[in-house]
Order: sequence, then structure tokens, then C-alpha cells
Amino acid sequence: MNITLPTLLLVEDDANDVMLFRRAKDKSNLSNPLQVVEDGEMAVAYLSGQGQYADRNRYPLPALMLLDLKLPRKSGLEVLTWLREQPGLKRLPVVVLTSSKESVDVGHAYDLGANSYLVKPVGFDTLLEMVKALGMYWFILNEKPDIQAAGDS
Amino acid sequence: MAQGAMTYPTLRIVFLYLLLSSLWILLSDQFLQQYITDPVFTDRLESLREWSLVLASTLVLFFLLRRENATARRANEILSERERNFRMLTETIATAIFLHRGGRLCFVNPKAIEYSGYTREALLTMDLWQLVAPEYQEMIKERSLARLSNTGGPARYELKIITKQGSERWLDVTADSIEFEGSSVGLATAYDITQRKLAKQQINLLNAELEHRVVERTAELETANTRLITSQTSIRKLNIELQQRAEELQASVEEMQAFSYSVSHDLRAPLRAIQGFTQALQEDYASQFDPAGQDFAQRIVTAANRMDILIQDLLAYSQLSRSELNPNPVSLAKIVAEAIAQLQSRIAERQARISIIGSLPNALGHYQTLVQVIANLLSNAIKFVAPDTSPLIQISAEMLANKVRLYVDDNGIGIPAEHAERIFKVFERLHGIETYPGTGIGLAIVRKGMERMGGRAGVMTKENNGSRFWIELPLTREV
Repeated sequence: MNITLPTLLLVEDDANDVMLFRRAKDKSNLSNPLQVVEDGEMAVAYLSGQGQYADRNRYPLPALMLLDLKLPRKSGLEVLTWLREQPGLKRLPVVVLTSSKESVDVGHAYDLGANSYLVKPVGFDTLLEMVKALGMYWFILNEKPDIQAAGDS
Repeated sequence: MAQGAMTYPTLRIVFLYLLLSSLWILLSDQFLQQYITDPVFTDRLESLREWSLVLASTLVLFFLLRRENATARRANEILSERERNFRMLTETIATAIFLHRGGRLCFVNPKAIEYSGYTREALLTMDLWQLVAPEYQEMIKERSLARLSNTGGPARYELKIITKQGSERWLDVTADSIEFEGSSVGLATAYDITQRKLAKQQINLLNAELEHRVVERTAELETANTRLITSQTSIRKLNIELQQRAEELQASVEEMQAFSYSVSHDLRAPLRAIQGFTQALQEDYASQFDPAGQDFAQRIVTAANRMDILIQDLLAYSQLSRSELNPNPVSLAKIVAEAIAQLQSRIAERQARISIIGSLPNALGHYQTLVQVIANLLSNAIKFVAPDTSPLIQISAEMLANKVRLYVDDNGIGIPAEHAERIFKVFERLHGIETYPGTGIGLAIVRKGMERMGGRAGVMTKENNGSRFWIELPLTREV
């Protein structure tokens, strides 16, 4: 297969949630590759291609980032703030995927440039529906912007 | 004076008689010597001359004595006229007159009798100071005796006398001394000033009372002032305490916020794992479960789902208590439509029929909260019906004075009157979770939400024939 599908980056520290997400993604036949980082600092490192993430063949720039808000080391909102200040990366679509439905968080996330805000469902069937919809909307229907990593020409 | 008047006319008569008789003797002697030469005729004439002298003397004496008598009578008349006038004056004058010799009264006029209350006879046996009140007696004795010995002009003073009847009478007295019946006597004229004294005493009394009252009022005012200062101090203290409480409250609200934030994030993560992995077990390992195992797995999923709803409801309730709900004009028709839209799947599932009677007005409220309140009411109306009954729900509005009331009528199982208040409390449930599932928070959210918007919520019971829930909202802002 020559055609490489756009990558999906999941920023999530809860291993259970990661496993359930993988399962839902597999069940929904979303075949885009999934990259997972466990905290905010790693998300920043991944996006800016630092350290191990310098290898863009192994760690390609994502077409969509699913971002939890409550993260170790650097919160989701801090990652979002940083991202929107990066000239090449700032258009990257970001979907906040979190447990919190606090209206303060929702407002903040949108203020900082989130493209969507989803609350993690407890029922697995609901999660499945959500992942299917995500794949359909962001990878098929949505027209993707140009994304460039820092230093790329 | 009387003696002088008697001596003077007597001397005059004697003198005139001496003069006339001497002149007669001298002139008749000379005439007889000069013009009469005949001795016999002279003898005759001599005898005539002596008889004539007697006659002339008698005549002169007669006229002189008559004249003197007339003068004396006239003087007597003047005297008795004066006496009469004096009596009339002293008897009619409105001033009391007392005359005394060395203190012993020798004359009193009717006014003096009236003032003292004694008879004239009694008074004329008394000393002046016997009339005077004890506290003035010494003063009067000294002054009136001193006045008799030297003349210092009239003196004036006020004093109190005791009448025969024992009552007190105030007099304004002028004391002097005069000549009376040939000797110097003490004169005291007096008029009654009892009324004036009483009035003055009354004024003094009133003044004293006024002063007393002023003192009393001042004291009261000072007490009130002290109390005011004390209350001000305690109000200040209370204010400080209140501020501390407010700060503590704010701190606990912040803690509560942090708590519910944590709950909403952390408590739900394990639930997702429980629910998700149990379902994964059911899907991937179904063949290895016997029916009992599959039932257990299903129970785990159901319980996890219920806990998730519970957490979400609790969060919604606590958020309602914490957040500011600024009321704005909203369309109840639009809100009801949105609440119905949110419940669409459940309405379809239960084949519920919702009808709106009449038009729904605008009111003052918080849009999202109202949607939640009405959705909760509708959701209850759909849920609490007897098995095999399709829910029939009617929504209507009633205008009250500056308020609007929205009714939600259902054909449900109804609520016994004794539970009408209880159901609005958090976690209150009337039914087992198996019959009618729920968290017991829905109506608590309804009431809390309405209260936070300045409204009310309640239920009218009509047992066996459904219930009628209502919410009430202000129509306009209260000034």
C-alpha cells in the first residue's frame, strides 16, 4: 500500500481509555494510523519533532489531534495554547476529548482554538458511535488544511 | 395743735378788750376836760361815761366772742370732715392698713381685718408680729421697732402672714412711721400678693419639673447614644465576622468547585473502564460465559451506567447551586420546543403525546436552566406512568400578577399529597429503582433551578388521575 492515510494523534494518559479507544477505532473500521502520547509535554515534543519524534516517517505529523484536558506535566489547554502559536502547526484541527463537561472548560477550550469538544461517554456503544462519526467527519468530509512542522520547507 | 388754737383767740380777746377800754377812758377824760366846764354836768357825764363803757365793752365782747366761736366751729367742722374722709379712705381702700405703737396694733382698716381673719377687737389686743408667719416674726419685730426710733423712709418687703383660720397669705408690705393721735406710730400698708406668689411658685415648680425632664431626657438620650455606639460596634464586629464567613464560604465554594471538577473527571474514568471492558468481555468472550456469567456481566454494565447518570445529575445540581443565573427575557415556547427535542428518542420509545394548550408567553429566566427544568418535568411525566399506558402530557400557561405559571399535566401514576413536598428534595425517591429507574435528583434540579431564577416550583396532586406540576417565573424585572 503506497497511499499512507493521515495519522490520528491521541493525547491521553489513562491506559484504559487508550485501550477502549483502540478497540472502538478497530471496531469502527477506521484504518488511519493511531499515535498515542501520555502527557502534554510529549504532545508538544511529538508535534515539534523533538527527540525520538524527529523521525517523521515513524511519527508523521497528524491530520487530527484528540486532546484530553487533564494531563500530567502539561495540561491540554496549555498544549492548545502552545499549538496555536506555532506558525506551521496552528491550523491543525484539535478535538478536545475529555471527561469534563464543566462549562468553564468548554468555554476555555473554544477560546484557545479547539475545533470541537467531546465528552468521553461511559457506554462503550456510545464511544463506538462517536469514533465512527469522528472518522467520517474529520477524515472524509472535512477539507484538511496544510500542516508543516517547524523547519520543514 | 389743739392747745395752740385755744390760747391764741383768748389772748386776742383780752388784748382787744384792754385796748378798747383804755382808749375809751383816755379819750372820754380828754373830752370832758376840754369841752365840759360845768361840774354838775361833768358829774352826770362821768356816770354816763362809766355805763357807756360797760355797754360798749359788753358789745365788743359779744361780737368778738361770736366771731371766735364761729372760727372754732369752722375748725371743728374741717376736722370732723377730715376725720370722715380719713375713715372713708381707710375703709374703702383696697390696701390693708395697720398702725401700731411699739408693735401693739392701735388701728386696723377693714381690708386689714379681712386679710387677717380676726375681728377688729381681737386685732387691737394683738402685736403686729403675731400675725406674721413664724419665719418672719423676728425680722418684723426688729425692723418695725427700729423704724419707730429713726426715720429712714419707707421700707418695702414681702412676707407671709397666718390668718386666724390658719391659712397662709402673702402680702406686699410698705412700712413707715407717722404721727397719729399725737404720737409717732408704725404704719404698715399691705396688699395681697398670694395669687402672684402662687403663680410664681407654680412657675418655679413647672420650671423645676421642666428642668428635671430635660435632665431625664438628656440622660435617656445619652443612654440611647451609648446603646447606639454599642450596637454600631457590634454591627462592625458582625460585619467583620460576616466578611470572614463570606471568605470562608467563598473558600468552601472554591473547594466544592475543585471537588466537583475532580469528580467529573476522575470518578468517571474508572466507570468507563468498568463499563467498556465488561462489554468487551461480553463481546469477545461470550462463548466462555454461561447464562449466569452473562447476567453478571450485564448487571455490571447496568450498574456502571446508573452510576454515571448519578454523577452527571449530581454535578448538574451542584453546578446549579454555584453558578450565577442572570435572568433574561426568554420565550417559553422556544424553551419547551427545545426540551421536547432533547427528549425526542424517549418520547418516540414510549409513544408519548405532548400537546401545548394555548400560547406560551415570554418570561424572565435563564435559557439553559429552563430547558433543563422543563426537560426534567417532561421526562418524569413520560417515565412515571402505569405499565401499558401511553403518556399523555399537556403544557399550558397561566398569567398571574407580574408572573407566569407553566403547567405540565400528565396521566401518570400521581403523587400522594403527603409526598408533594418531599419529592423536590435531593435523593428523594418514591419508587424502587426496578420499577421506575432514576437518581432522585431531577425534581431537586427543577426546584433549585427555579429558586435560582427567582421563581418557584410545585405540584398539585390529583391521585389516580395523574399529576399537575407547575413552575412560576417573573414576567418583568422587579425594580
